Amino acid sequence: MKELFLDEGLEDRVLDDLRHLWETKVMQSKAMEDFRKNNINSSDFVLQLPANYPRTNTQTLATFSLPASLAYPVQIPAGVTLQTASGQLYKVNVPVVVTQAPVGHQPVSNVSQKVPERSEMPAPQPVAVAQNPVLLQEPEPPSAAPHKLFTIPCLPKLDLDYTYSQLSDIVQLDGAADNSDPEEDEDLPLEENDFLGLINAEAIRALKEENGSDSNSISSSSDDGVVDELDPLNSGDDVVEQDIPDLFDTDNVIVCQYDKIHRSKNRWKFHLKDGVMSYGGRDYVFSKAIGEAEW
Amino acid sequence: MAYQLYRNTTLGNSLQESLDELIQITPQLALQVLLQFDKAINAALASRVRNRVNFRGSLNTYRFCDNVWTFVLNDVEFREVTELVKVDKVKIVACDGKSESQQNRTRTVLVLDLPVTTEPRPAVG
Repeated sequence: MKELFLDEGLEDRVLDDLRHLWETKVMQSKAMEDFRKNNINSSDFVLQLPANYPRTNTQTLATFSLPASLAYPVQIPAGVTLQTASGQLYKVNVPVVVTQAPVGHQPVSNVSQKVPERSEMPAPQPVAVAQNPVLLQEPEPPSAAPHKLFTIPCLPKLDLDYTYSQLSDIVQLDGAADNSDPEEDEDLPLEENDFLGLINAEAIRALKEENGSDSNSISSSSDDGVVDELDPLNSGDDVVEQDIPDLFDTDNVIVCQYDKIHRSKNRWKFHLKDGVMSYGGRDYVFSKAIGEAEW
Repeated sequence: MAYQLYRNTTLGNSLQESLDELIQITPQLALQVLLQFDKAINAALASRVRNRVNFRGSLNTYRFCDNVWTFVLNDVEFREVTELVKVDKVKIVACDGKSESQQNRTRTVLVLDLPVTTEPRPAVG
């Protein structure tokens, strides 16, 4: 491939960028879970709250886990809500840039302005966001996993406006979910990365479909974060219509070649080969597959 | 010409999206990348994968058009030695696996060996 790229006058770097992007997307897809488990370089970035944080003086670190293969610097725009492994939610009110430090593989963040907020805070505390530059800190924990730290200079502001989609744009695999409704819960398609949160894939899809009345009913019915991809699109439809759109992209799809397809009355036998299967969000391959079905 | 069938896989789709994102890559070059991907994935699947799967389910629809079979199966159980996976609905798109080998076969030349007897013509005389 390099020759082709060089012919076009492009640098090798472009090819590497392509490969990197491609690998990033593939890793993101969770269809290759095993690869990711083997990736010991799971990078966490640690959110360090300033000492003058009113609510907590002791707990200053919140660890977020970003996918290892994210290309740095990562920009987290304002309005994104991050959730730590312990379940606490932090809202980024100010754009954050998480960069990777060159030395020691310790990723470090540069935060221009940032305000975290705790979702558990009962009373709103509107506070002006200070314009402090962010401090870069090295993490204490052992060196196996690189950490990214950034400090939040200011006091929190209670704002229940969870818009996850802006962060999703960075790592999302399945296209832009740029119409997140502030009133809805956090959205997270199935193919997303380690960000925990109120996963609501059907809300995203409903937003994408821009089906106003349906999406409201869907979002209200799925506040508990149940992920069921097929329901929202068929919730208002007839039974008949469910049979017709067999070209769903939410299908579990197998792409393969057939050796022999056989039918006796209504019994079908399939002899397939060299296939790639995708189901349950995971990918599989086979060199041969033999199946039976009745019509 | 390798099948472009595998472009609609996770790998293939992510490649296509990456190609779309990098604007430095001209469409012509992107096409070359995809063609190279087709060759590579076909070769890799044929050579590097060596496992077998059995499955059983009920057939919802079947379609055979342009030598491509498309099935939609319901309540399918995929069984491999290591694990068992059940899905409610699966779509199978299958291209002809046999004709590939046909394309690679050398042409057979039919040689007819007919006995020919020639008798010397009597000299005219």
